[in-house]
Amino acid sequence: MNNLYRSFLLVGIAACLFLTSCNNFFDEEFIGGKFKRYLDEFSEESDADGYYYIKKSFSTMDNLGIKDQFNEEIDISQPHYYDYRAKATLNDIYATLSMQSDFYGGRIGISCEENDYDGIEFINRWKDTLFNDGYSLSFEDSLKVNGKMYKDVIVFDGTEGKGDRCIFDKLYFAAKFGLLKIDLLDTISIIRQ
Amino acid sequence: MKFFWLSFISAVFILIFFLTACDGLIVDGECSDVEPTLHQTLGSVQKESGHFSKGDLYHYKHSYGFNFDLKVTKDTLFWQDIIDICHFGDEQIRSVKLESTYPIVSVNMTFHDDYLYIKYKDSQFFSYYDSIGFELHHYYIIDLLDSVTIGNVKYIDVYKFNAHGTGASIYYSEKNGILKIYENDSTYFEIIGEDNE
Repeated sequence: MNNLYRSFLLVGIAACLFLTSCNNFFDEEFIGGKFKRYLDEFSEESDADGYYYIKKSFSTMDNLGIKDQFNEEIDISQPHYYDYRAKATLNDIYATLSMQSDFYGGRIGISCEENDYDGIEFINRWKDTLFNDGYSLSFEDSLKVNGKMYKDVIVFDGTEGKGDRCIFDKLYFAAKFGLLKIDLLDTISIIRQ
Repeated sequence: MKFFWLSFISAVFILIFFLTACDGLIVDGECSDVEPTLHQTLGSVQKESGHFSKGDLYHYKHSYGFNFDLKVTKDTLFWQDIIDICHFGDEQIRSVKLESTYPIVSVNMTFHDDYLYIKYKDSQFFSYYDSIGFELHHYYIIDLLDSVTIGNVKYIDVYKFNAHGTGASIYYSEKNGILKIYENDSTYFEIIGEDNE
C-alpha cells in the first residue's frame, strides 16, 4: 500500500511540475517565429482604453475613387487572444483576423465571409510564412500603404488559394490599426485613409 | 401513485393541445380538415414580377457619386418540400439574384406562392401576396405609390418595401424591377432608366 501512495505522490508532483511549467508554452522561445510578438502587438494596442470589446470605424477609398466606411469590432477578452472583424457599409465585404496561442502553440484564422466562422486556419507558427490550401500568410516588419509606414503587418494572400473561400486577392492587417488594405479582382485596391 | 396520475393527466392534456395546435385535429398523424397534399405552383404574378431575365443589366447611380450595374445572374424556378406538420407536398419557388462585380453588391429575391422575400446586405424585406398581387394592408412593410420619378423617368405603380429594423427601403416595380434602394436616410442608389415619357 505504501508503494501505491508513493506512486500516487510522485505522479501528483510530476503533474504539478508540468502544470506550473505551462507558462513557458507562451514564452517567445516556445512559440517561435514572429507569432507571439505579433499577437502581443495586435492585442496590446486594443487594450489602450481598458476595454475588452472595442468598436471603431475607419474610412477607405479605392483606386477608382469610391469611398467606403468600415465598422470594426475587436475582442481581446481572453489572454493570448485577439479577434478582429471589419465590415464595409457600401461593399458587401467582411474580413476577420483572429489570433490565439494555446498549449499547442497557436493559430491564426482569416475569414472573408460572414458565415465562414472558422475561417482559413494557419497553425504552423514557427515559420514566418504560413500556408494552408494554397492560401498564405506572412509577417512583414513594416509596410508602406498610401504613403504611410505601418509596423508589424500581417499579409494574407488568397491569389493561389484553392476552393472558393475568399474573394480577396490580399488582405493587410497592421498592429495598432487593423485592416489597412484589400486587394481584389486583380485591379481594385481598397485603402484605409 | 398520486404523482403518477398527475403526470399522466398532464401528459394527456399536453398531447391534446399539441394535436389541436395546427389548423385542425390530427387523426392518425394527418390533419383532418386541411388538404394533406399540396403542390403549390407559382402564379404568373410571381413568375413574371420584375421582368427579370438572366443576363439583363440594370444601370444605377449611387448617392456617393458613381454609377454601377446590377446584372441578373440567376432567375430560376425550382421545387422545394413544404415543411409543415399539417401540410405535405412541395412548392414552386422563383429565385432571382442581381449582382454587381464591383462595388460588391447583391440583391437576392425569393418569390413564394404567398410572399416575396428580399435580402440586401443586413436588411430583409417580406411582402405578402393575395390572389391578385401584394397585400397592402401591412402598411408598415409595404406601400403602393401611384408614381415615382427617378431622373426624368416616371414610373407608375411603385411598391415601397420597408425592412424591419434597419431603416432600409426598396422601391420596386412589377414592370421595371428594382428602382431604388435606400440603405438609410442619406445613402441610396437609383436606376438610370431610359426616358419613357
